[in-house]
Amino acid sequence: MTGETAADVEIVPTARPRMDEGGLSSFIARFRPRTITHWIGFLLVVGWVLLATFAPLLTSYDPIAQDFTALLQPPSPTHVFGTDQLGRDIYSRVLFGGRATLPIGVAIIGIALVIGIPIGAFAGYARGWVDEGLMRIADIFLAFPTIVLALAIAAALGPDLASAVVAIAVVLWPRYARLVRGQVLSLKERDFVLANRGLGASPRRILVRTVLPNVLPVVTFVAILDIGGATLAGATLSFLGLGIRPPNPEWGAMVSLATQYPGDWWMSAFPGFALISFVVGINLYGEVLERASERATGAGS
Amino acid sequence: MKRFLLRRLLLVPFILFGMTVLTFSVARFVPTDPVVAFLGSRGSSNQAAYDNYRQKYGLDRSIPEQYLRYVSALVQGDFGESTSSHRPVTEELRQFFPATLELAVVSMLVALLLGIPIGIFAAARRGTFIEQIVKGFTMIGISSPTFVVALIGLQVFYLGLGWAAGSGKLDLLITAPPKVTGMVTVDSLLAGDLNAFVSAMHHIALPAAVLGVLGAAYFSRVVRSTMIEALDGEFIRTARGKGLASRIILFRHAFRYALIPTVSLAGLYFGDLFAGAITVETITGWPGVGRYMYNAAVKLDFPAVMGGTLVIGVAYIIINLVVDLLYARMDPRVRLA
Amino acid sequence: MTQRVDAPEGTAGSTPATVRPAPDGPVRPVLDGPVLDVRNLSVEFTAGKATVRAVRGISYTVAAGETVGIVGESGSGKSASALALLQLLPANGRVSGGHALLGTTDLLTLAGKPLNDLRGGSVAMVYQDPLSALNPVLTVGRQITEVVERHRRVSHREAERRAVELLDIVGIPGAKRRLGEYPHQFSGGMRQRVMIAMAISCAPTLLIADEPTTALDVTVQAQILDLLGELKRELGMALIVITHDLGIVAGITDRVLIMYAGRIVEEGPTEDVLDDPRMPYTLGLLRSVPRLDLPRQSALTPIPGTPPDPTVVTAGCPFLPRCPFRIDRCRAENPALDNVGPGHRIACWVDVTVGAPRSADGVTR
Repeated sequence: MTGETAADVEIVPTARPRMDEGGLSSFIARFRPRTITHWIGFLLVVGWVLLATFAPLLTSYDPIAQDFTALLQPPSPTHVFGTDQLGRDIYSRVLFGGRATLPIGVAIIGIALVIGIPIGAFAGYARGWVDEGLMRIADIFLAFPTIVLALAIAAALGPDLASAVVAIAVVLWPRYARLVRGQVLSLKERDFVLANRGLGASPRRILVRTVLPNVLPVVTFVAILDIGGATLAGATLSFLGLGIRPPNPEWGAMVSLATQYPGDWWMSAFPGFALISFVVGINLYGEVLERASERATGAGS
Repeated sequence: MKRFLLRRLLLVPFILFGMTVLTFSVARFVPTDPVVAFLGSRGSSNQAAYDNYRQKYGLDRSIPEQYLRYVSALVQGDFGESTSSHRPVTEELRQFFPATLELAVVSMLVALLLGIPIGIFAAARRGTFIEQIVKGFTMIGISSPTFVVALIGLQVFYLGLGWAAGSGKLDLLITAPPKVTGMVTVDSLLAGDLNAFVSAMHHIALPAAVLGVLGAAYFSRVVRSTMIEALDGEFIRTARGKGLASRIILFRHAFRYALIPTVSLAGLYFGDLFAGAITVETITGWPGVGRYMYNAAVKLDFPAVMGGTLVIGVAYIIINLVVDLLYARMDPRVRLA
Repeated sequence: MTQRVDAPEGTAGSTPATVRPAPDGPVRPVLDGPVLDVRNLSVEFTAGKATVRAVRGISYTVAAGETVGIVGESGSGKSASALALLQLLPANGRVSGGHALLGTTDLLTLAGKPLNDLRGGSVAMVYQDPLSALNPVLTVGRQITEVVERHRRVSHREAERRAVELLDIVGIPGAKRRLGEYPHQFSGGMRQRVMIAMAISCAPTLLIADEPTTALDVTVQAQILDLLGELKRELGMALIVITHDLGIVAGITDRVLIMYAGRIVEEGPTEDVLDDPRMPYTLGLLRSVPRLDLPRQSALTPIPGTPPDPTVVTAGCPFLPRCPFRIDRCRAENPALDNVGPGHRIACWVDVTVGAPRSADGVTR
């Protein structure tokens, strides 16, 4: 079922046959949106990234500048999204807020991957007690609902944006470790890995050169799909006051302020819409990757 | 099935042990000096008070010893003392946790009662325009942060329409029923107090609706996709080949097959409900452990935060254990393996 | 590319006309004529932008009590042609032409209740992999009783009694106890017996078996085939067996149809076709299979090449690229089915017995 035999492997202990032909370019092709919904998602994500990046060019208001003459103004021609309780322009706060919220999700996933992939790969390759031990540790983290544990850790680390990111990442790494471990386990027994071992390649070399390149695509797909959830988690912690320090704008924190002024709908509606549309974008686009990851894991068995 | 259950059960004490290690570690290895957190910066400049506090809480002992003191206290039901209210955390948890449990259960019921039919409907109408609409709404549902939906719910249903009740579990004018479980809905039913029950339901309506609708979005997608997977299966072709009516195929064959993974996911979703409760309780004023933890986190009240985390974690494990047992009973492939 | 539509000789008029009362059902009328008359059936699948022409205008008949084998390699269209009869094609498949007459009713035009009355009632099907073809979360008993309840006015208890009876008939010991068990608790052969029990539960006139033994061990295969044969005789059913295995065909069928690239390329009484194959493809098949009746040293010669692309329609004979007997005419015209013996027809321009083009009036033996 593998389609590859020892004969296909180069007689060099660093052979790395891919599961699909074409290597890098076919890998990149998997990211291409295929249906309309994929494109909508893709454009939503790219749109917000651009808006956040070019925020200074898109607004003339300073997001933290207070204006006591214009407190709690509903949307108007001067303030398109209205103002908050300190007279700050919400439109520019939404734009600049993206600069805080969007990277949070990516950073969380990035850190979780950096921790989780090596641990998972090591566990999968080493087997035995090491594997059992690491997986039990992973289970303990997974025994708590994500935000609950992240809340506790973030509180302990101090109310700071970095601690929120680290806290969530620390709670999420077990998922990726488990995933990578599973992939490594199933790949370990496949012909091309056995062939490399037969040729005398060291375990470390096999792991890095042969197994990992085949594990990474699956993990990448899952990780990208998780960015939406990670962004929401980060926003939630910010909402709870454990993320960004005021007065810097961040979508979750903006909604948090808005809860004290529930009658002024514009304070929560716009950052809320921003959050929802961004995550919807990731989820819609993510369906492209869902299919790709299914094929990658399916092809691997 | 026995082996499966045995394995599951054996893991539980280990996980509980691990959880206490985790919460202990988090609480102990905070960057902030716990003494300072408790006494405040002025209080801790007083050397005597500082030393006194350290000795009282065993902070001058070795780490393993501290852990043992921690665990033995836990086992005796002592979760420490809240640094903000100075009440025993155990007492506060006992006061607030049942409300969250209540909220979680009602929300789960709403989520399943709404989500399952919608999921079946979407699977049956596969490929049609109306299915796309359902997919669209559910997509928004799973992409929305709980706190945004809760706030919108508050704005629309409380401020706007005045349908939802205010904060608290009961109307202020109604006396609470005698405490049996700590859950107002259950206690009022047990006491036969219809007034209290109605009031309790009125108060739980908004938070449960928020969590329930978000949950329904999730479950409808799960049910829809597992049913579609079932409907593509070969045994469905066999069923059609037997001349069975579409409705029978949908419900007796496809749904029964899809129900099993749905139950399993429902257990896991309790985790999301507990997590969502933190923000929803805070916004709607439902006095549960979620709101308690939020307040505690803001005040950096570590005993309270850790206590809440541990209680929620333990509840989550127990719920999942029950669900796994249910799953093992329901899936003949596991039950009779 | 026309095919003759009259019934092949040797079958019409030789039907045993019997009245077979179904145990709790209406008395079946006498049939004097084929049970099933398939005319010019074509089936297509859409795969993305391409159209796969899986079945290209096949015609055949099945007489009452007769066993017909449909043989072909994967991709020949044999399974598709059978699924089409009960309209069980997957979502991307459709019948693009032809008729399938059961008595006077065209099966391909049925819909709704009449279609469901037919399925499991007069015509039933047994599938290839019993593990995936049975619902894993319903008891075996339930899966049988539901067929009986669908087609007969009986109480649930009566249906259960019937289910026990059926499990007995198909040779499952301890039937009563096993009603409450689930498919995964049965072995492969037992599961296939369960499927057969489901299929014969309402005494169908025609039973279609799609590769009924492919997923089973060789020893079990023989048992299942014997069972099918026995049931066929007792119930007087007509049986269509679809397979790629010539050995099965040799053992159980009265007549055989060899399919290639969606068409019938040879048909006739089984003995005749296997002893005296006239179409190069059939020849090739027989040569590529180990035979007990040939000396041991005979080499197995596989047919070189691969089947043609099913999305493409060519003018000439589809077997052309792989045929050692090809002549110019094969490239230009697709041969129609033509007689080479009593009931024995082939679609070929060449007479393989002499290695020369067939004479214009058809080759006689």
